[in-house]
Amino acid sequence: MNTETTSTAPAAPGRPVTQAGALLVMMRREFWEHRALWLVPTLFAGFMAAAALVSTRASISIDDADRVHADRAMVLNVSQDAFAGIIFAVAAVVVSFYVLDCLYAERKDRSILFWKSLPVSDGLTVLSKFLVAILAVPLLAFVLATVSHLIALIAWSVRARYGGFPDLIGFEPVAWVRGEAFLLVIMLLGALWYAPVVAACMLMSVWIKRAPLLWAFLGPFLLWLGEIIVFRTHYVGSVLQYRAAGIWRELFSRNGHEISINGNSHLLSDLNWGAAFTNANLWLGVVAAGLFLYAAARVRRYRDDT
Amino acid sequence: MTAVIEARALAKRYGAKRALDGASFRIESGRIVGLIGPNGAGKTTALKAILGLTSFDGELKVLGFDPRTQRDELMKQVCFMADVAVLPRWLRARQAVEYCRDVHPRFDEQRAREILGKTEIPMNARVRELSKGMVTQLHLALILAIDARLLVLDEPTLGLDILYRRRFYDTLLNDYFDKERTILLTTHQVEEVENLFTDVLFISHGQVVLDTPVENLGDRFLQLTVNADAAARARALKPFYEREVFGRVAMLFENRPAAELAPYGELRTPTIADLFVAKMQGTLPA
Repeated sequence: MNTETTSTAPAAPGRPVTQAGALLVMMRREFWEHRALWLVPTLFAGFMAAAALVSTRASISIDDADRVHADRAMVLNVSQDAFAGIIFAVAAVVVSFYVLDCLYAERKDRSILFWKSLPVSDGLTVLSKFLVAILAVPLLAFVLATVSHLIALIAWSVRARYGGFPDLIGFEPVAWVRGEAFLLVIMLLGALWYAPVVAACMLMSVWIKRAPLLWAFLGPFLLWLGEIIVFRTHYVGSVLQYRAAGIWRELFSRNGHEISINGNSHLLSDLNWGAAFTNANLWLGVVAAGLFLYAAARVRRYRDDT
Repeated sequence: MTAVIEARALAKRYGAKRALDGASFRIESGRIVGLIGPNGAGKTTALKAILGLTSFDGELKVLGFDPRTQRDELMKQVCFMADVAVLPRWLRARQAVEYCRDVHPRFDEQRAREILGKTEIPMNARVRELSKGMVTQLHLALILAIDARLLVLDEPTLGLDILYRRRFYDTLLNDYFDKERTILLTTHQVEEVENLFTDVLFISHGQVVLDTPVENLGDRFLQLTVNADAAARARALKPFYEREVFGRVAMLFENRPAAELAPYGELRTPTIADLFVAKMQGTLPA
């Protein structure tokens, strides 16, 4: 019998599916599975907007009655930051749980065997989950913060016009755009700075056999405690502390001194953006994130439901 | 003929246990192959090796690709259904169809919707709301809509009732299978599907113990049923397996001409299930 092994497909190639197209579809899939990613920040944003609509009192103290225009910008920016701060914090909590679960849940419910039956590479899968955590959810949080704040602002403005609220609330276009730009840049800096943390959590999610969530919290804690007890040093603690907040200290200091911030500061021009974005550890962290993601894809390659 | 799968000396160890111990086989295109073996024989490991889900030693080509290094390419032409119930519980039928359409170049959405239209599965239902039989129907609909050259099914009907099982295999055979496609199937319910197979591959202790087209079984294997008094004489012809049935003795012979056996009793071609039991008997601890 004359035998040969086929090397290429004689059948039609089928519809073209681009990598970028597949990536977007896979990111959408994450929001189907992990509904908390959009549901929780949306609920918080809705709650805050609703609270502004029904609020009956605003307590704003005025330093100088002559500076109403400047104070209006200040009130606008401070409330803008407050809305964003709360929604970003909520999103950060949700994302923390997500990145530790995203490559573990599919093994736990055995659906990895279904996902792997489709022509999607491990690299693309890991990348889609990373982009959801580092880009999609923060962008969603930004939009939610903007929308809910605008709703609140309209409610406050109406109140201010018809009495009861101090006349310090109003829309200041320049201040508003500056405020939004500030939030976007902060978001970008945060994404870059926390990228290695997110990628490391994903690596734990794919690597640890059982309960990655528990180990992600317990592991660093035990390392920290063990180092103190055994070596009487604090390297683990300082590394963790540095990665938690190091970049913000950089951003808020100039020439070794802390930048003093008050309500009237122009954060976009006053903060030390140059030092923050040229920080070597920021970019080393991004490189580390790339390595962690590569490792996560390699580990997932031979992971199944066991 | 062209080989869809060509395996030489496949080996895989889990610690001290050898899941695959030098298995070699060849699967031609356009066949329906039953991969049959007792629990722990290495069936699932072999399938995982073919699908690039596990590492292994030895040589393996699937559609010309090495599953270890070319899995992404391979999966465009291979489809598999591992066990039942691997569809995630949160997934809606509609989402499953949309997702497959968007990531699989060979997925035919129209066909998937047609097949689903014949079932009672609402497009908006989540997997967790469906019965086990319906989940399998949903998964089958997704798979049948993929124009794959090799379909691998690992116990696809486990835990389903007979109605669903029958419908599953009917759909597979009537609506899917053609000479361009190859199906590799493992199952414990051998009796039920033995008419489906064109080839059987028995595997035991990580080795292939029988690899033959079903049409050749009759030439190679014969089952002789003799009365107890003739058993001793028939036994001299060296059956490789025998068992007592209602006072008579059924013996299985390999490569014995029918003419030589006929005088002793009734002859017939053994069923795949009979052969399986016979072949495995010697390999199991008493």
